[in-house]
Amino acid sequence: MEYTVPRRGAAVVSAWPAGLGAVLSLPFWKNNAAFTLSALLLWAAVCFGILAPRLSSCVLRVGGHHLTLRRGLLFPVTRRIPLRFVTGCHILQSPLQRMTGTCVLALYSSGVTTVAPGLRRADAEALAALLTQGGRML
Amino acid sequence: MKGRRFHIIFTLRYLRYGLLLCLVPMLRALVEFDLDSLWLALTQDAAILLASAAAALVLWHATSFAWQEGAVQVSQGVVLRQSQTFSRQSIAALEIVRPLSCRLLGASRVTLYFRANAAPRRYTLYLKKRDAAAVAEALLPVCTENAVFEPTGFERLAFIMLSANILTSSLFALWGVRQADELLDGDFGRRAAQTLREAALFVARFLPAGFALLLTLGFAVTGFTFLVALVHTAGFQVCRSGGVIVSRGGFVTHIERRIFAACVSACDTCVSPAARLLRRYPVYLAAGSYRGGDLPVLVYKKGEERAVRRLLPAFSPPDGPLCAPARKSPVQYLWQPGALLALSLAVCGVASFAMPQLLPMLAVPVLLALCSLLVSLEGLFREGFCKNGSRTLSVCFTRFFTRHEVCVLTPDIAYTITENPFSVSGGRCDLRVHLPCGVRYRVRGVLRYLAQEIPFAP
Repeated sequence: MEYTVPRRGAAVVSAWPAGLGAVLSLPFWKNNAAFTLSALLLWAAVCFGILAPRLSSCVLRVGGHHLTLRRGLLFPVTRRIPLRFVTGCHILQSPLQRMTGTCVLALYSSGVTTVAPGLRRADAEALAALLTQGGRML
Repeated sequence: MKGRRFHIIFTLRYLRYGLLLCLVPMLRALVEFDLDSLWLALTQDAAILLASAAAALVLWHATSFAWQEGAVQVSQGVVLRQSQTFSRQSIAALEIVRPLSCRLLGASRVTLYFRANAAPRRYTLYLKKRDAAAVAEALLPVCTENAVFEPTGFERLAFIMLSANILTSSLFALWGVRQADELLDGDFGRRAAQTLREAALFVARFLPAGFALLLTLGFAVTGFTFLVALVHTAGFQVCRSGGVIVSRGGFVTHIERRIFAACVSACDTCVSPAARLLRRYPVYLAAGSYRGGDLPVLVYKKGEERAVRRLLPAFSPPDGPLCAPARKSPVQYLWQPGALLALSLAVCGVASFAMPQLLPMLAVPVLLALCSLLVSLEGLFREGFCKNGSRTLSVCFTRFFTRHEVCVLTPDIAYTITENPFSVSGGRCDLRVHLPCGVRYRVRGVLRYLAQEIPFAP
């Protein structure tokens, strides 16, 4: 089984650091508007040009005994967790994510927490059911 | 089950919050800076302390615990009552700590470390001495105690040297000086600094001035560190009985640790510079959420791994070679210490023209950078991992000046593989192994196809 992160889900998650940058830049608008605007645009470019493609490259594979999460294009990171030691799942949804049908999935296993941001809600629910209740949906 | 109360020392835990609250009126008094504000702040502080003491007493009265064979139940809460039961099956390690203050009052601090990473990861109880012993026996019982490791003679000296921690001892010394200043209302700190300065002046007769101060300071810190280690490891003994590893020791602070052998997740052998000199290696155990504590569980002589097997039969050295150095990138290992060495040498070069008297002092960072370069070079040839036939994983990595040789005994581990364009072209990657206690080991430059094929036990 393989789950991927849609572009809209990655874009919504990338909008969070972009929004945070906009809020943090508020005190600087008064003194140096041109510099603040250029810095903000650069930050937005980083968020939507680098972070969003990185997040949308995330692939979750469920094998026979382990779960593999691969993320990143230029600097790929692969994480493998034994399925029988997954202790819990957590699904988070912001209002914008509810509109786009995406969510953030956190998987807990002993020693490490794995986060898959921007996953489809239906995929996340199916995966959570598979990992915690043997595939039975509540 | 028979319900019992915690020791009254439990209330101190809540009084600390009251003391922190007392700072707020004092800050206000400091801003206004007059006698009326000071009097008001003192009155408010007294009221806060009385209120927090009353709240702590009520909480203490509402908290109780009970034990039976294989389980401990703790009930607490005034308005919302909650009851937690900790069974033997959920516990990986248990620690009983009795610092001097607790010993004077007949109390013990018992910390339970759990197997899984679920909340809480650990739980602390403040009990009477007899109750603490009974709880330990109920959860991790010990039948007969046969000492596996009891250092004497040179072994004891090696154990002291290998368990000494310069950083914590220095912090402890600074804290001690400050406390002595406050309690004795004297200039203890100033006198200590004066003594150190006089000693440095004496050493400066034979050595250059800056280097003499550095040497004196290093000698004082090392001496104090060894003194702390000597007191901390007095009467140290490790036994194994009925599947439980028990370690006891300490002169001022008594510490007893009980580790369930079946829950041991990793066995870490630290090859530090002191260990290389003494040819004795300290071994630390991790079990469940227990990370290994401040003392090694065992120190064994080079080549005598069977001493570890006596304590932990599942321990196994690596079956085969851990890495292929020819496939590794030397730049990845050597750029950091190399850059540090080049920088230190450049500073020395400038100092040889501008301030030649500082040269002996500047030789210290050069020496440290050189040692770091040597350790990284060793990492280039030794760092790696190997899956053993006995279903264990051997991991070797270097961190600071120490080489860690770890035998991972649990299948409950996660891996992270990190790559970059250069390592992808060379078929390499960096591997991180995550243990249940939250500790992670980083191995650099391992072969990608080997890292990908690490099997998880079904």
